[in-house]
Amino acid sequence: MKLSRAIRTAIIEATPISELLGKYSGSPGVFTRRPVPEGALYPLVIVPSENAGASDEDGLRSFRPVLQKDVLVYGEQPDQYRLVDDLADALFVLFHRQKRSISVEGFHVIDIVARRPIQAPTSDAKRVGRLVPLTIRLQDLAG
Amino acid sequence: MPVKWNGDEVMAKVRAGAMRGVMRGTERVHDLATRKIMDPPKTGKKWPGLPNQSSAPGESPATQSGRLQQSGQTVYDNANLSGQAQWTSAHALPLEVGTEDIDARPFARPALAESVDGIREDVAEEIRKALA
Repeated sequence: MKLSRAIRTAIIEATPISELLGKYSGSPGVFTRRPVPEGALYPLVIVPSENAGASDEDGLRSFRPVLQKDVLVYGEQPDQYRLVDDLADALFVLFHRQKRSISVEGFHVIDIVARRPIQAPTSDAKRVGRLVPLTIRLQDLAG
Repeated sequence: MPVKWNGDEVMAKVRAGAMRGVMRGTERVHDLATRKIMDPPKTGKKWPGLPNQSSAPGESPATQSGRLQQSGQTVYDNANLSGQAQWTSAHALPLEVGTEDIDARPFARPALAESVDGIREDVAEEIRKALA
């Protein structure tokens, strides 16, 4: 299931968000792996490929995964502090209870619940981070 | 025919049972997260100076100093029938969510996700017992 890529696509297509991000190879800085590539400009977003948690609400003949995904925003201190806050708020609005914001091949999106942004840890004190956790309930279309 | 209304008494029993279920469920999450930290497999690097093999990205963190699992605690709010499993060590959140350079080693949310069915059963069973 290419959920991280679906979330990445949704962020890139949300131009009010993506136009505020730094660019990498001509594209807005939304990455699905860490560490981000050398030369990536801040602010940037990371949607890790691994799930933060996974459970299910499967029925006898249906496959309904419930997946937790983190969306992380990072920027440079002190200049991008407010921008990172604004981006995290915009990501919350983009996904919270907006099940049509993403399209996952082979699955119907039942709902998406985002939590309000919280401070995300950084490796470097010169950076600032925010975390927007998502809980995404899906249903396998083949089920 | 007079009818005696026992609603308040029943609700008090339900709340007490639900709270016991919440406590069992919260301890379940805490215990599972601790096991995830303590138990193999850990397939990351073996760093010189650290006693145990480290975790690979995506695995739960390996225990090294023991501070992470020792910082685990459970907190309860009887008024709201809720419980929290918390880890207060400074490196708990960086391990759980990662940083811009380091992949996550999640342990708390996987433990919660894997405990959902058990928590439901804990609460239901304790309410049943309270009303028996």
